[in-house]
Amino acid sequence: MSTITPPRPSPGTEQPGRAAAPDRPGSLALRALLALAVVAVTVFWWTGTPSGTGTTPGGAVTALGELTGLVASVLVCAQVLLTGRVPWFERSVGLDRLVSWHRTLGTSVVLLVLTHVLLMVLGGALLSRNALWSQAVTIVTTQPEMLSAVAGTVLFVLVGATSARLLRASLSYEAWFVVHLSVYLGIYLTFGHQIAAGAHFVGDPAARLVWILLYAGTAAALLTWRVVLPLADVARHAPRVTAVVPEAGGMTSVWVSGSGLGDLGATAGQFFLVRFLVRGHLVSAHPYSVSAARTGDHLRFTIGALGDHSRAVARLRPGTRVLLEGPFGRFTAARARRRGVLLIAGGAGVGPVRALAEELRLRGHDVVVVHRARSAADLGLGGELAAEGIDYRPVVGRRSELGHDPLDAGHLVALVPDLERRDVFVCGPPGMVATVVRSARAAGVPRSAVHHEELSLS
Amino acid sequence: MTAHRWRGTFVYLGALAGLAAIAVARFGGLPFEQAAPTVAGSTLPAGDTGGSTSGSGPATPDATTSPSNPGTGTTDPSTVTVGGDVAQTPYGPVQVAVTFTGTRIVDVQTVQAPVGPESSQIAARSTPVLAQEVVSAQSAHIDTVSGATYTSEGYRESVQSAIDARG
Ligand SMILES: Cc1cc2nc3c(=O)[nH]c(=O)nc-3n(C[C@H](O)[C@H](O)[C@H](O)COP(=O)(O)OP(=O)(O)OC[C@H]3O[C@@H](n4cnc5c(N)ncnc54)[C@H](O)[C@@H]3O)c2cc1C
Ligand code: HEM
Ligand code: HEM
Repeated sequence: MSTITPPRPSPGTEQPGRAAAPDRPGSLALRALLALAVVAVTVFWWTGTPSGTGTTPGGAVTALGELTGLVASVLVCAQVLLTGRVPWFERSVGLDRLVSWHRTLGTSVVLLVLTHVLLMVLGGALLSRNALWSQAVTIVTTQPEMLSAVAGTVLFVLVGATSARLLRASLSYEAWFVVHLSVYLGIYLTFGHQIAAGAHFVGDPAARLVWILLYAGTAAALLTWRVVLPLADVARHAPRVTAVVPEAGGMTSVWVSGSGLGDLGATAGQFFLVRFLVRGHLVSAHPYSVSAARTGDHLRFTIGALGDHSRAVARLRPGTRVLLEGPFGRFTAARARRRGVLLIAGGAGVGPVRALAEELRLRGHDVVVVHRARSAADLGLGGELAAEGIDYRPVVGRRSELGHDPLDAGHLVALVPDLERRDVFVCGPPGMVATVVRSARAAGVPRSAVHHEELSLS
Repeated sequence: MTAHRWRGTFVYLGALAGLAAIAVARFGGLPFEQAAPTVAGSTLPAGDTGGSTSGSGPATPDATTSPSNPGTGTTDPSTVTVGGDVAQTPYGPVQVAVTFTGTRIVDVQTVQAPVGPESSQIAARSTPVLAQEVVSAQSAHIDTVSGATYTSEGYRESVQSAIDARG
């Protein structure tokens, strides 16, 4: 099926029962770190704010506005670091959850920034007895670096608005992404006024230095892990497309090879951010999972025709250069605690499930794969799964034709009667994943034994 | 991820409530002081930046001529010192006393300025500059001293009220 012969997989030696537990402590530590940063900046505000400030409504409102600005500013750095591919964050939390946190926090940050602006204007207006709008003009014209702060805030709001569900749905991924990138400029623009006008910084060179280091540190992390190291990897491995193989159901398998690619340590179930360096694919990187296990310096991605870019993958030519970021994700065989595992794949989720099934089998697990598709013609990679010596059970038909959801609790238990004693891995569209998680829990599978990956970061 | 549609908004509301609670804790949750208008009078030790006077509300009618020298200066009969209004800034009250010889402003003294670890420092640095500016401008139309925006604003306000009171 392809021109590349994967190196012969060697059976795993790990004891399935003793696989590492999911890294809960790491994700707790990251949350604690975030909380600590907010506490630290609050203490800084507390000690630097004279009590007399609170004796007038205007003073109190202004002080609260400053606190809001300080917290928002710390969270802006957190926002950038959460998507900054910091290896320790990736390992302990996982990219998908980091992005989910980023989305939650993003909304909060934009609203906090707006609150800061409102409180600064309101507080000033109360103190000077100006009208709100004339106080706003006064602030912008008399305080340093305010024009750029306003411009930066406009970019923040734009980024927030385009990320909101309503607007996001009507934008292409690329348009949204380009707007989102302008947030870097926005952050740069709002930095100046913080140390030039901020009452807690103007008279305090030490505080100013700490603040500058906070932002410089964030920028350095970004440069290291999002620019320098990925480029160094590309230079070292020079990954290229080596084969493009059509699969059933309109899917396409793309093999990417490069010297020493295996050193990246990708395991079954993980994904890369893949950018094919050819016209039409340059703007954004797409997340694709590896669809074959233990293939050494070769990686296989199996891509469903879900949109414009994924469809265009079928026309890629061997030799095309590829930028890879990764591997990411903790949807791996190491998560399985029991000998029996049930893997459920839907749509493009069959790629990672195919790789996981192979890996789990090699590790000595008893593997059942349920492959959900609209019709028999859509069972891409089904042939490979059936040939593995794996208990393969395709489930085809639209829900409307069947009159029920074959993945609801009753039907799933009928299909896999010993479901309760298995670890469940599910990968596919978010709706399907949610259904399976509910069914498995209803059937008595403990939460720690249900592992899932939605094929969507947004 | 679709399960948490309003999570960001909830986190924001929670954060806002937390921040407001912190502010209340910081300022003791006390009602704003309804300090009686203070008369800037004989108790004006020039340069005392530790003044505990604090006022609020509408412009206090304390722009009176200094009672120690009612209407007159010590030597020159046309020299008079007028206390300005207390101007509130986020960091505390600012109040000045302006000395006129005839219609000329010859000196500005700081009656009170914000106190605090940094505020005192900022006041110490900025008030001499502001006084100098008033004397050279002969009015309250002066530039903001960088890094002392609010003190400058309060200073302007207090100087202006003294000029207005002098008439
Ligand atoms: C962890 C993970 C693993 C995945 N593994 C596979 C896989 O093995 N095989 C496979 O076929 N698909 C996989 N996907 C889905 C795949 O990334 C998207 O289908 C693809 O990016 C769609 O791009 P498009 O331009 O063709 O579609 P569009 O029509 O532009 O978008 C279709 C959907 O994909 C989302 N999307 C588009 N571009 C991106 C991007 N750059 N980053 C994130 N989301 C994007 C959009 O928000 C939209 O919901 C995976 C997704 C995730 C999150
Ligand atoms: C308002 C809600 C927001 C949502 C829903 C949102 C969502 C996202 C998503 C889905 C990504 C892509 C993740 C990835 O592929 O790495 C992303 C990237 C990013 N976001 Fe946001 N975001 C929001 C607000 C913000 C804010 C306020 C900031 C900064 C202050 C910010 C900064 C970034 C950065 C720096 C990136 C990385 C971009 C890159 O690839 O270089 N986002 N965001
Ligand atoms: C329209 C845009 C904005 C306006 C008008 C504005 C206004 C102000 C003003 C007047 C001050 C200084 C006054 C003081 O400290 O008393 C200030 C300080 C500050 N602002 Fe903003 N701001 C804006 C946007 C932002 C944004 C986007 C952020 C965060 C990312 C931010 C974070 C801060 C911080 C951290 C301080 C310092 C607070 C302190 O030292 O106490 N501001 N802002």
